[in-house]
Amino acid sequence: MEHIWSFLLQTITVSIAAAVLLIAKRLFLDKLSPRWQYGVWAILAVRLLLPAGLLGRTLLPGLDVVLEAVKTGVESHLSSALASPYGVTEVLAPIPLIRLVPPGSVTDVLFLLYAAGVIVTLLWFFLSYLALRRRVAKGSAPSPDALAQVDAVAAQYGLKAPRRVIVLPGVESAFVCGPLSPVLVLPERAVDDKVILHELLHLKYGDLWAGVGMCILRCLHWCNPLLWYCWDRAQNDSEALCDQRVLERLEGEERREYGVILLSMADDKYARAPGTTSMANGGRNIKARISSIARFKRYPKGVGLGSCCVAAVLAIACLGGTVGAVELPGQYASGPLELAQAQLNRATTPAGALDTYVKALLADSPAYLIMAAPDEAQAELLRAAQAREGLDAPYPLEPLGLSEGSGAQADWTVYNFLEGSDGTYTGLLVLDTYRTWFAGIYEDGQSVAVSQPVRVFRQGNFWAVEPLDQWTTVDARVMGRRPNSILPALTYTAHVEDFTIEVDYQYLLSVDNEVYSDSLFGSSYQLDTVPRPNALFTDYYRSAGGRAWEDEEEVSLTVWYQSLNQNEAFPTEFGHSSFRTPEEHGLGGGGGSDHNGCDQQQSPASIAVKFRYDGRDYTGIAWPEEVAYD
Amino acid sequence: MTDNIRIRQALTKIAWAYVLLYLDFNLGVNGHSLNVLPNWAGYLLIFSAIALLGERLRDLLLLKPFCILLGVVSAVDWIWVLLTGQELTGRFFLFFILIACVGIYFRFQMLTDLALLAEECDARANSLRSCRNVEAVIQVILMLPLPWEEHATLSIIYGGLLVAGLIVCAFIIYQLFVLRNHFPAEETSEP
Repeated sequence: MEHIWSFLLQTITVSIAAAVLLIAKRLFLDKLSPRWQYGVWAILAVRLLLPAGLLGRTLLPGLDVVLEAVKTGVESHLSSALASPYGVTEVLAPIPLIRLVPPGSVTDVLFLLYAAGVIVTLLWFFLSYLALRRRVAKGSAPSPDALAQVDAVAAQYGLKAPRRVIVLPGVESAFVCGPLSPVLVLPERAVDDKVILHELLHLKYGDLWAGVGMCILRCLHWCNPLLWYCWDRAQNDSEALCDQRVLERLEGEERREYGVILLSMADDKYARAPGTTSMANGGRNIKARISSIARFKRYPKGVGLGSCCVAAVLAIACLGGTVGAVELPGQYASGPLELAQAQLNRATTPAGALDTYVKALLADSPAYLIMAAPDEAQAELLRAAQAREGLDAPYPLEPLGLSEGSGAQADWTVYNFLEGSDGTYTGLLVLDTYRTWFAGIYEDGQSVAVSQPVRVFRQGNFWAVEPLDQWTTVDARVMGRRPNSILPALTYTAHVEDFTIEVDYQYLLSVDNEVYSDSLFGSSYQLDTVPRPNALFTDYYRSAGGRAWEDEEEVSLTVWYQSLNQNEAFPTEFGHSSFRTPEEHGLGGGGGSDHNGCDQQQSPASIAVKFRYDGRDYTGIAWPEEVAYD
Repeated sequence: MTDNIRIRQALTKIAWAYVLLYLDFNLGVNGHSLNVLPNWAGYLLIFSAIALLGERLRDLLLLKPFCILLGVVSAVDWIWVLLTGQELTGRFFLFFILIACVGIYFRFQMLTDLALLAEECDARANSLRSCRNVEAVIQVILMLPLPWEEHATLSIIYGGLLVAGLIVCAFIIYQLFVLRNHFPAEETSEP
């Protein structure tokens, strides 16, 4: 948790899980045993230690949208040092992660207050425990009879006696203190065997450690009263379970006597101390435990597996949640919740970023562009969307003579999508209207496509697109040809002894955006105009050509080539891909599609080449020339 | 009416209730697909069976509130499908989970009690318990948040679990009818 919003997301998520568990416990109050009633709190403990939104799952669909909308509304008027108004709220860890920066806003101060509260509460619990240990240290040794009684009870029920037993004046009932070196503290008056049995059972089942764990979890959400209530309930359930364990070891009249002992404690006041367990835990709680004891024999038998299955379903729901996918905003979204949907749907893949960028521009939709724009542009886009304005960017198809209101569609392809050393991609984005119905209205020789060089780069978990130049028309001869010799290729150069080999490699990537619709006149396809921010490249085309020189003299030879990814080893064998120099790229080649995503989502990092000259084989690696679009 | 006849009637009702709960037969009504073997009718049958069996199986009476709850939820969903074509409760994930918990416990507890009855009649109580266990475990596995439809192997496992669940249910129904036959249909002198 790095800021107040991630804490809110975490604490609300945990509270929802707590509410579900409380309802489930109420539903099964008289049907499932105290073991189940206590055990299900483990689900809450694990939920509390899991970051909210892990693996894109959520407990309450829409919660993140509301929180994001509130955060953007609040933070856009502040200058917080810890939270950004437009970044997506994430919980990186279930504990506060403090950055040592001066607070810039009230939300920063609130988060620092929360973090300080965690430390103060932890300290308070620790000091309370130390004070109790100091008090216990002043206790006196018990009488030989009392010690013998403890040993006898332990022996009778096959339990381990604590190493230290002391008598402390002023205490109302026996209790165990200290998880590391437990001490059984007895009151001055005589104690019933059953009370000692109760405390020894706490020791056997490690309830002291569970109590310490609950104290720490309380501290993490010290300002959440629902969670305090839940941990109070959990500690009471721990006592109720211990009662159950005692009753399982007692017979007939002894069980009734145990109930009487509990009743005698009903008026006791109780202050919960960390690292201790005590049979007396306050009048109200004891009444609940007596009700539980009254049900001891009435819990249905033989439903062990059934109760485990119910707990498993609760655990699956509270820990796994449901798919947290947020709906895409509408094209004309302007409300805070819809714009929060846009912020939460930012592109997670380079193909998704390009797809969203193109569709945002074609639809003139700031809400769409929020999903593919860099952080710096978010504020202006949000403002434009809220004001129901269009984009402050030229309409891509304008160079073709089309206006924004034409409803024109265009399919996009990115040429020569190459990863740079800094992890960003550059490529030539081409919008092609050739396959759309209105392409028929063009005159011969008129261009039907536009292009724009773009950079696609990662910002946190998301990808954004930055245009590197204006949209320009593409030579009309392209006319839907993929690949083609009109648009450029990347040039890779290899120097092998006296030879220089230039490989022009054109690599095209696109996303299948066709959607089919059935009508009275048969099925027809059209282009999907809704952005796909998580899309993968599904279609690719490639073509190669090149030239070769021996020293300064151009020569004709057959070059076999194989594309290589980053860190891919030189191939031991070459396939059938080859060209005869000099050959122009775009004349041959092929492509394919994979709806699960193309394996190679970019132009090759390098190209391995092999050629034969004068009966001798030569091999080498061709590297790309630096591309400068801007 | 003797105890035996009451028990026989109750077991018949529960067996048919299982048929209603597990079999969906959909018809196009109001432009939507509607189950003509509604689950709420199954819960109604079980509710009346609990009343008949309550004296013999005391734990079964604990299930009455759950039976009402499940019946009401099923009825609401059924009406909602009739009106809108979609279930209502499935939209609320956490409510759906709580109802699923109640459903799992309800069937498990009911079969546990009926197995006790079968034990008294020497009528293969253990196989009823085994079916009960398998049914509950299958239901939990099916609730795991796995991409069941995205991976071929998982899809096969999912289909296999559904088929296994159906077979187990058929076996439960068969055993309930077998158990019923241990109780005479005509009034005879009490054994």
